[in-house]
Amino acid sequence: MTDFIEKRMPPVLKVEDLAVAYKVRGGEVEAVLNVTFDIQRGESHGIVGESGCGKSTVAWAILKFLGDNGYIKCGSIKFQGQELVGKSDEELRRLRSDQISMVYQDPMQALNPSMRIGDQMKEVLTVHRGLSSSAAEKRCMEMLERVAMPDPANVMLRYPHQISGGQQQRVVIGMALLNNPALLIMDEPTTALDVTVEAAVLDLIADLRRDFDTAIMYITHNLGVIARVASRIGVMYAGQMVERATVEDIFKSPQHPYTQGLIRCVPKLGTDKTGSILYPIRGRVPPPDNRPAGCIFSPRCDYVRPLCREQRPALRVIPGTNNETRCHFSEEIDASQWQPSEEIELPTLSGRKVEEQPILQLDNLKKYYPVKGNSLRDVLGLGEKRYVKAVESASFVVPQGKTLGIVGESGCGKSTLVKTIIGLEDATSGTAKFLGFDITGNISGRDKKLIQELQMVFQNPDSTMNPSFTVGQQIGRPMRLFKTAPKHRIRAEVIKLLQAMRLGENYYDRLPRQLSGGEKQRVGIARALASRPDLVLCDEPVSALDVSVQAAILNLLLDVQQEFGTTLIFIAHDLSVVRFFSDYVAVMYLGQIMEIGPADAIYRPPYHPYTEALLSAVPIPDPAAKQKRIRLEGSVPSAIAPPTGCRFHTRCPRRSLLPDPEICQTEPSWQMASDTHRIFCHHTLETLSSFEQVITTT
Amino acid sequence: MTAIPVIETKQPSRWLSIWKSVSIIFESRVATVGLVMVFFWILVGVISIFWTPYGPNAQDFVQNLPPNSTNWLGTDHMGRDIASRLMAGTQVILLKTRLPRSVASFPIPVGVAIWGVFGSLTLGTILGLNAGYRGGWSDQGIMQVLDALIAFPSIVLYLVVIAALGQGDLVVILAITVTGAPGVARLARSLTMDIKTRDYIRAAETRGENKWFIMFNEILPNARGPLLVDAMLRVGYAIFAIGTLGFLGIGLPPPDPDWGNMVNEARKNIFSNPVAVIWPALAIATLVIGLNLFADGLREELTRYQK
Repeated sequence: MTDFIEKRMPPVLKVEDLAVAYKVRGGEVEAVLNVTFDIQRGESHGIVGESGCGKSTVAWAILKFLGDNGYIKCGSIKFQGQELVGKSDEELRRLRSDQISMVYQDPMQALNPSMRIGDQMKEVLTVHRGLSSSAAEKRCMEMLERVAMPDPANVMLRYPHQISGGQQQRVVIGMALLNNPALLIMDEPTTALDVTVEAAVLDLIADLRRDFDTAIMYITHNLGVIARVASRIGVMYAGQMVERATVEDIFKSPQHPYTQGLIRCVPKLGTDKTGSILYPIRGRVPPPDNRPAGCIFSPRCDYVRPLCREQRPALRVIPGTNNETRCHFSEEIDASQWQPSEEIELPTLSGRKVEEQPILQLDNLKKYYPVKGNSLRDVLGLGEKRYVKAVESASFVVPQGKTLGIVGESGCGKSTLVKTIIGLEDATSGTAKFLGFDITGNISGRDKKLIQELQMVFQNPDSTMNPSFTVGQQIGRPMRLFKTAPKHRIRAEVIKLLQAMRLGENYYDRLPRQLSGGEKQRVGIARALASRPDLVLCDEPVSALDVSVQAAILNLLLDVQQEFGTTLIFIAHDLSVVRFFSDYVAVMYLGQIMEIGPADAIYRPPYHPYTEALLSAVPIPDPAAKQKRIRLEGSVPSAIAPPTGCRFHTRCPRRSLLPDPEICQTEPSWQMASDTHRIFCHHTLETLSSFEQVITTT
Repeated sequence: MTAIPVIETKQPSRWLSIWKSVSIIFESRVATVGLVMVFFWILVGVISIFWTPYGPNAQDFVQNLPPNSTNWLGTDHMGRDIASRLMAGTQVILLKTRLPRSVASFPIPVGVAIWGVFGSLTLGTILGLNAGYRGGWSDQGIMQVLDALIAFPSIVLYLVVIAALGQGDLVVILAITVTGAPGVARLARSLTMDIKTRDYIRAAETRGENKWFIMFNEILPNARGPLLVDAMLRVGYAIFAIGTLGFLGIGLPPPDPDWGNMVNEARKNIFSNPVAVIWPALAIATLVIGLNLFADGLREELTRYQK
């Protein structure tokens, strides 16, 4: 089939043996080398890889957006048969505007904040196509309608900040398609969006591909997303493309050891820590100036042989499969026979007995932020007081030694909840007891002993450590502050902790800039554990990490919990990770806990309609899995004036099932599905139980 | 069980690592040129402590001579050798500060310009850190006062301080401190407001660290780079300010020669000896330009992508 098309017409894009380098102080860095691939008409070609593997650089090289210090070292990029390498900037500029479009990660940065959306979109047509203003306007309206924007005429008159993030991305995609480009490059277009919005945008992309016959180059790090949008996938590793195949072949029979490893790293939705193990890939990506001489993956490969260290394999089709792989021995590798190498750390879940004493009890905890108005009355303090209701009556109990996962889309109040518990904010009302002590006030009023028992792990590995201090100093600081170790023992204690984090003693004197993201996160965890806390709050500890590192960090946290009996509150937006990691899960929407219960109970009926929608939106790294399609309408309402009654009722897809939908305007009551499983909904348990399972894996 | 294969990074020796961080200056041609210019004047100053062609205050020659073989740069209106005075003039700016007679008869090391900048750096940083980190009313209060200070032309501030306290090296230092502090505070504040959003500050707060610890131990070390580059530029401005004060006749007190004062006196005799005014002006200009080039080059090199 592929051969047939190739004979008939040239591919839209054909990249051959591309190498891109950046000049830096004292030499140059080869970001990409020997990348070869092609994209056919109407095809959606995914490029997937971990951060720093050069996937964006390939996209920029096609457009020649390499900055002052980047240049194409060798290779050719043929676009519809024309060679792009060596073209003048002016020629490329014309090509970019008419034939190639790009969609970036952050829609807010792609749109001009000081221009109305209509004017920005029209500009594309009036400048490049020479259309009249009214004709352009008509085309833009059609396009907005095409990308499923509600009320296009109104949107045309608005400024970018007046529409939501998902809508902005729709506008950007619509703008990119206005010129009917032959090639559309999308660089992580949904990474900044919430799952439910992401799902809708991915649907849109799939739709558009069918209608417009545009070739799409889709770049992402997310295996679930790529499984949903791409028809063919190229897997990149350390600047090279290591495997290329159709989406089914990549996920069903990956041939390269790296691809196999990647797929083993991600938790499948529905698996949990007692039933399955995540296998991280050992070692780390080599820095671009220190790549191994032979196969680039050889230092981390479980099947490495002497030849791999000497000779760099070429991309070749593996006999008996449709996969192109850059591996010497793909035929001889049988993924089903794979055994984890002894070097990888795996958690040992010994089913340690924990007494189910509640350690943290929240009852009706509220956190409101006052909003400053702009009118004269507000300035004088006469106006009506308004509040952002960030957390609305949160009540739950966390038993000792267990993990509570909190999921929800951005702005649902999960971070505020954690900040209130740890004392960065004080609670507006309600009670919160930790170890029996009141913690509704902020940290300045708390006893040192209490502070010590409550620590936190942060999201961003690059900012979790102070760049000016060594690893040892930073881990030692809490020990010194809380006097958990005598002065002369601190160094020994820190090293012991480092070893528990699988970092050697030689990390003691390193500065943060000498560490990789995963290592920084390990140090962040070590610092949180240094004061031997009873409860550790983890605010998205793995969401900024690559999947192979994420698996290692999750395993580490599991081990820590086993060893120290620490209780964890784990915030994440990735439902598969939360499902895998947590004992209990709370689902939040707009400051309200919608459903809370044991992890396995949350992921099958009965569930709250919002949970159902979330589950249906999760991208699953398995093209064979069946997922029911439920998409939420509109966007999350403002937290200043949330809908009355059930906060979800304005978007609830299940509202019509109620005999009297008006009842949603009143506060629902908790439906007790079991002792520990509560659902905040007007539907009866019978109705909720009658929903069919969202995800069925085959 | 070590999971991460240790990539061998030998700890380099202390001297090597110091050299490594210093050597980035030489990556930038601009910074190197600036450094050479600054070092030239420091060297001249150090030599002048031990040796000058003639006594800087000795009135040995005919007045208002043009440059000749005995007096390389000519003589001034009192028959003093300009070259010797120019060399000695470096001292008060860069190398020594004279204390009032009543305190001590010997000078303390490091010149007026550098002490002045040090003062404004200290004061400005403390104010800026507090304003930036605490925010709210502290920020409002501190910044309003500093903005009011900026609203005055700096020359007026100099005049006010000197008129109130009289002439003297310490007074000039104080004047430079007061006029420089608002600028440093603004920079320190904006850096602090950026750094305080980082997670490691959250981590310190959740440990219950006190505010001063967070400001000085967690935030300040990370704001160091831009503040030092700014200080480098400010030394240039301070030298300029000392020149201005000298020109107005209210700068550093005699007997030590002062470049600004030299310009002022040469100006009065500009028709009989037009070249005399050029030398001290040139000295001020080269030193200030040298410092600016150095600071610019350094900043560029520090912000560049590093391998």
